[in-house]
Amino acid sequence: MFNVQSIRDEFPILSTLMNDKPLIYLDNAATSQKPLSVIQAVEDFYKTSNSNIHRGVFRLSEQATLQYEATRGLFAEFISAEKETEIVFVKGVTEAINLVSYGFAQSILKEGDEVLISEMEHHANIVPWQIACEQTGAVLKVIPVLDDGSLDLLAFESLLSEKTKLLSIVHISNSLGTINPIKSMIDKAHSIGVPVLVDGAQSAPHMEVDVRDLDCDFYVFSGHKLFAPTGVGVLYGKEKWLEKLPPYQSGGDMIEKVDFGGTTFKGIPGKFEAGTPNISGVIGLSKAIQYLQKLDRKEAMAHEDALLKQATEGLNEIDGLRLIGTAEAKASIVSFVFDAIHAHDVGTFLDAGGIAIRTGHHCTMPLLKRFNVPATARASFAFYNNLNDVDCLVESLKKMKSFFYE
Amino acid sequence: MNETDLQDLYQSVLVQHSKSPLHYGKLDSHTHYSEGYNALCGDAISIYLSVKQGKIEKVSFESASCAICKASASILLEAIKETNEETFFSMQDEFSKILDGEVSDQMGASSQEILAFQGIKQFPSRKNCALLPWETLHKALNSNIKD
Repeated sequence: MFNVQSIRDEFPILSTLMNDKPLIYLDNAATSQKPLSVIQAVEDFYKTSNSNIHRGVFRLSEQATLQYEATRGLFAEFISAEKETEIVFVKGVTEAINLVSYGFAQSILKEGDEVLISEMEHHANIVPWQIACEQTGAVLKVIPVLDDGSLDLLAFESLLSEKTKLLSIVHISNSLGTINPIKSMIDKAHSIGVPVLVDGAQSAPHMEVDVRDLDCDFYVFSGHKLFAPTGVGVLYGKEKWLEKLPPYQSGGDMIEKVDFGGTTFKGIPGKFEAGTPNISGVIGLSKAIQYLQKLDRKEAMAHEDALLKQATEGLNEIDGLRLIGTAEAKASIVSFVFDAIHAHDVGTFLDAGGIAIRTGHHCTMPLLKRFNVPATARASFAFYNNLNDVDCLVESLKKMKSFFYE
Repeated sequence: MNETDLQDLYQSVLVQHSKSPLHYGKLDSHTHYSEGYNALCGDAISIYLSVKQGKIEKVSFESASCAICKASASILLEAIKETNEETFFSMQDEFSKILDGEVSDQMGASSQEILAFQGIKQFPSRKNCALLPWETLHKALNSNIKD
């Protein structure tokens, strides 16, 4: 039996008050809360282990380096990567995609080539490719989204061609909750030699990820959505791709030898990690991974599915509310709009009752344009949310209607 | 923040303006025009003005925005219609003070209704919603299309 209460007890923020009401945190797609073990690991690092890594010969620095590098192995195991050198620490998904798009612009994309993304991408998986295409003369192609919020897979097949140099696709839509069939999409892309980057910002917190089973070429994560601190994330890349891409940033720590006659770089992953990294963040990430490894992820997913089901049923009962994103395969994210109440006003009303949701375009402006709405209200659930959270959301929305209409 | 604060924010005058905004729609014969966006949330507003010999004769707006933004635009346009730039700038100063909660007895001479925005000080994230029409109108005044 999945014991939500004992899980909630490990997340200190969930027992705080917001506007004099118990906090109901439903903005997990934006960032997740952190268990005590993560918070304590970051604090302990600064209290007992703080020093720079890959530099000092003193014991303190050696210990910090060991903790940092151990996380690489732990993460490789977490996503079933073949080698820990395929794990690059970055700031998050945005930096990971920028790293890959920069490399593609520098050494792969040529005029007339194509990069294929979808209409449901987060801006972080649109703008870097727009820039890479502008720089190289490549063309950005976009897989359309159907009315239910699923991808138009027929269009995908016709857009995929020998000209495609990369398919860069979101696993779970942050705005709609749609789970894309990425395994079959990867198979189709690979059948004509097209590599695939998967934006896993929303999927890693919701499901187990096995990069070898998916056979994706890149998979990118943000730590802060994965119960770890902000400012840390992971780029997984197959060894052959990481070898092929040039360094993204340069400077300290990523070099082998610097001379005014020329510089040689470290091998992978070091050549992508210039400067002092977010050491405490990486150590916090290791605790978050350990936390997730102790959790029964299948039960956690089933619990999130139950939250989604109850939320969908509850919201569907409210007159004037329309769900945006009703695909069959969905993670625990619900986006909705009201006929006559703007999403911001919904957000402010719920906040007064201690309920935190996201309102706006969720960094997916082209997707909202496709659905012809300027903004949505979005509630996104994590495994530490409970059915009471869902009920409070639905009841508050009903009260809100009378507040604005009567 | 509690339900009283919510009622202070969404005073009935603001809710009425947001539901039935004044001067809503496109002004075909405008001399000044600007669009404003709130990049944080995607709110968008267009403001049309017809200014003749320094007098703001006709006003209108269209928006895809929240109740606060819509009410702010409606009240603003009603207040500056048939006035001039100077009146707008002095009202704009007054409005900024009201949003920061600095209300004095002398305020509201030009529009009692703008005083309804004082509840916003409890909701800092909503201040930009109220300001967007004012900033856009300011830009519109600098956008002389034909005088």
